[in-house]
Amino acid sequence: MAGTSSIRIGQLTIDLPIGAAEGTTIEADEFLSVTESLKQQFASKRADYVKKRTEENAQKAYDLGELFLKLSTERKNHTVHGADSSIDLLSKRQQDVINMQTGIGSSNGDNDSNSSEDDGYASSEIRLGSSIAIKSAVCPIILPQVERLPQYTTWVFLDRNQQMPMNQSVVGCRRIYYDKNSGEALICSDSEEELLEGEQEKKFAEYEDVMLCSTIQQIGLSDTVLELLGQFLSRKPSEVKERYEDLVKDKYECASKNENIQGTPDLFLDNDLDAALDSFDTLFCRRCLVFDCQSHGCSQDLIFPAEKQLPWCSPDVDKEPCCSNCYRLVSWSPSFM
Amino acid sequence: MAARVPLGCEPVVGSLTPSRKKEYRVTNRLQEGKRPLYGVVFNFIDSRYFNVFATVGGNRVTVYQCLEGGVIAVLQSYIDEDKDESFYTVSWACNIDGSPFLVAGGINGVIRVIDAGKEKLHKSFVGHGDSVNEIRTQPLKPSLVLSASKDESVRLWNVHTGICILVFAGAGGHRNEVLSVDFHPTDIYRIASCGMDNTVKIWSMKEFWTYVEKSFTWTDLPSKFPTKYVQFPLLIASVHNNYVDCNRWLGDFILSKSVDNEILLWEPKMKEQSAGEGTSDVLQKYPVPECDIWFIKLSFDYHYKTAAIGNREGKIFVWEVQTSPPTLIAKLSHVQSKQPIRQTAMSFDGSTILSCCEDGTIWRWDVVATTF
Repeated sequence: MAGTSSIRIGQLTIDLPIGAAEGTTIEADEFLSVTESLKQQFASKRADYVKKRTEENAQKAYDLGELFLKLSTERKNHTVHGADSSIDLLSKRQQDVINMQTGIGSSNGDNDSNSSEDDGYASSEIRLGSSIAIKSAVCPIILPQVERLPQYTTWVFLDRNQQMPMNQSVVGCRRIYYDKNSGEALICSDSEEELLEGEQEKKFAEYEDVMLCSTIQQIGLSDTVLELLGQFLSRKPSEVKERYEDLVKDKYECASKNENIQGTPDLFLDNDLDAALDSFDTLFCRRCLVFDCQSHGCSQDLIFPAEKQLPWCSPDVDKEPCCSNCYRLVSWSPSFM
Repeated sequence: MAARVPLGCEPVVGSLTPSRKKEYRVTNRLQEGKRPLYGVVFNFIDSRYFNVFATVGGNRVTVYQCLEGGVIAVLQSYIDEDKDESFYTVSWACNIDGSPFLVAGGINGVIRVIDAGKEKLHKSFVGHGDSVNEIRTQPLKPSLVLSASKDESVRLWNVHTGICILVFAGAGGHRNEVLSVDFHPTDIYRIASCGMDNTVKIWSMKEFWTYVEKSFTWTDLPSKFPTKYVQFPLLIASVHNNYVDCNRWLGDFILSKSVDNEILLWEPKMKEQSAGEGTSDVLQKYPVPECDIWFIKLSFDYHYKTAAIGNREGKIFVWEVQTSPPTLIAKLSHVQSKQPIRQTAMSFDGSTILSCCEDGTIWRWDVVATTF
């Protein structure tokens, strides 16, 4: 497919690197077939897992229905035999309806006839059934008006609800920041339309690791493959390479892992604590002293304070003479002074 | 913003081609006034009333019974003296002596507890700072009800003593209107809530259970009860990208609906040791076309085998929820049903489906034939 600059994997279009050579296209095709096959495997494993879990949960849910049925039947018995023998008016109304129904002759008009009952109901016309008119004396019961509270949003005393001292607060001060994307100075706002960059999940999921490993082991670790994987997994090729090296370093076998996938990544390589802590380094804003600075961004260059330069001092004590003319061969004696 | 779904963890998506395993037809249609009806619910608490249902709309709560042949009879009617009240939600509950209760709430933010066995108002609960969007009853202890409100809080009430036991809000609470709430069916300490902040939050009351027990025996004024704040949920799930207006427990999983035309079945995985951490695994997705306005609720049959959901064009989708991949049993539509369906109610065995609409109508669908 000479001349094309992108390939499609399902709904994903992946761009080949600019200036891709003939060899790259072959690699890309290989990549395509490997990823397609892996994707199908994942989808099938996932479907099996979901089916299993759904069926387990379905049984649980059905048993619940049985439990509630038992409780709701007991409730009926409890009331009937209750100490307080007052009549349940709802049951009485049910009975009245049944009595009325059986009391009426069974001549049925055509199904289209509707008789509207207007027995002084509170303002509404209610039609009952499609062929049987049931006259019931239902008087609406008034619920007396109750005084309402003034409108409010539930408020709890939290640290963030406390007022800051004026000299620390930015309230009333106009905060301006420089937006790299639009290249202009903008005023800080709480608009929900802002997209927060750098907040995406960085952790690699189990299936992504399998995809990564399998693909690289089958096709090889070339720039093209890294680039393609990067696009497929929405990450930088450098991140993909780093992840692969981490996985290989820990002597992780992709093949055996493939067999063990149960659908839920239960255990996986723990991220190195140091690596995790290092990742915070670039998030800290030295000006605002916060980790998620909205004004200055999250990818700040690391600045290491310049080390104090000590005056040059060579440890002369143990040094060997460098050649026959080295001053060290000269023995010091007071007569030279 | 919802996290990108990792490779290999995508949900299984249902197809919109109905299996037609069951067919339904319209057997009745009532016009209850002109104002929208926002809630319709069968009584699943007491087996005597399995075919009794209540609707709410405007300032009215009405109780009906479904009879043979598509007939619907009016049993009781309650009207709020305040004509500007608009009830949004109703739930059946019961008193400790088994007397049936109706608990309704709406734009006034006042929760009305109606004793349907004595046909009078039992209590009114004042406390929420804005409208009440949903009320749900604890099936294991039907004197306990939860309310979800526009004031960003969820409250637990004891309908018997009239006490507000717990308020779920604060540092970890919802940041916008809470639209739906539900009790876990067996774990009596666990609840789930969701709302306009796009999240579903799972909470535990275990730490405060002594207060729940105390609420049953409290003899002093309800206002003197030491209501506690639960500020931190067990899990905050961002499985949706938009308002989540209905969530229901399905066993240990959650079925939640958002205004992105989708219902998701997902498994919350909490870490017992560290509250607040945990993940959510989205297992299945049930598409619901034209369901992009908020405040449309789904309902289950008694045994949680099927779920019925309406949309803004007056159609009802009946999904099988215990199978994988998701199967659409039927798509119900009628030429005269074009208005948004706010809530559906399925009868005990799923043979009757009711829907209540924006134009004040109640539609009754009955099953016609079951083919295997």
